[in-house]
Amino acid sequence: MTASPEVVQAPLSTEELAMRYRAMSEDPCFANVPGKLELDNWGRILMTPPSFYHGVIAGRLVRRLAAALGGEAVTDATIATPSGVFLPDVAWASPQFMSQHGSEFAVTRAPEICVEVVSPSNSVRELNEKRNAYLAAGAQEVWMVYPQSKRIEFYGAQGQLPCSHYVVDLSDIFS
Amino acid sequence: MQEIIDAPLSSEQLAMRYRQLCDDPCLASVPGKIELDVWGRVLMTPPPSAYHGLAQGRLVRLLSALGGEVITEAPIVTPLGLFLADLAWLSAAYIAAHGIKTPLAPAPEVCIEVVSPTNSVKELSEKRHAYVAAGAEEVWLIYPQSKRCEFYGPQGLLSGSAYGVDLRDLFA
Repeated sequence: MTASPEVVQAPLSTEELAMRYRAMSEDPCFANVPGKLELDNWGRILMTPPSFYHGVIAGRLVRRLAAALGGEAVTDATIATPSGVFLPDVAWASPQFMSQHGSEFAVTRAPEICVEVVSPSNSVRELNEKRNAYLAAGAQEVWMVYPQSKRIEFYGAQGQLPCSHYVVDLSDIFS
Repeated sequence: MQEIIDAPLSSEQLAMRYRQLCDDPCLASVPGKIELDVWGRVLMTPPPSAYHGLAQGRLVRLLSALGGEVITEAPIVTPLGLFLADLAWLSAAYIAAHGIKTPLAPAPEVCIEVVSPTNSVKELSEKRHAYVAAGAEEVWLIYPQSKRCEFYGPQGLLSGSAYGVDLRDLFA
């Protein structure tokens, strides 16, 4: 037996979470896992099954964000937050963010905009957790995109916003 | 289909989701264990070490002294989620009354977790409560590294198991 701890005794730090996530990414055992892998702050692996339409919406968001704001639109950005390692479907990072954090394997600060495209496998509890996690990790805004009811909710540090402070053309995103 | 899960899932909903996951070819190559929390989130546990499997194998043999049946990776639906006990022991009376369904409901009499370094105390405490809430008489937590067993009943930690299984050779 190794000298590693017998059991995870306390919530993991963001550094420990980032390290675990990196080890998992390099583990061939996980290479064929479909969908997204995330970690809760006790190191438990969370899996989200993939869906095609979800990817279509995410792709459109990437194009709109990049066209309107410059910077980088990132899919499945790995963010180590105090609540766990989560991957927003789409994130937008300014050139300033990129120059500070762009080379990190898992960023410990959230990019300016984090977007979740809601799937039927998501729960309100999960979305609340992620929204709070991204904002706590420094996101300016979190967008929740609901493809089925064709609506978008915007959140900032103070709660829900009537609209985004970023000027991005989101018309016809659900067409 | 519903756009989002807006309330914790019932046992029936969890059982249905779990059976769908079992039949999903997409998940056939996923290594390790798949479980569901009560909000339907899929939890993955990486494959266990050889030593974990060895302890599991020995427990199967030791539990066979009780008669009944032993199930490894037993899917159990509980009020807190759908979890796979590393081992479960079921009496003949349980089987006669409830049969062997996927997932099992209620929880078998004895539910056992062999602790791995990827488990957290939070997860083990959740599972322990979940199995008891689903009807388990005892939950055993086996710690291969420190070579010890903890036994829990509905009232909490027990000084020993009421089943009298000889576990002396478990860590030999």
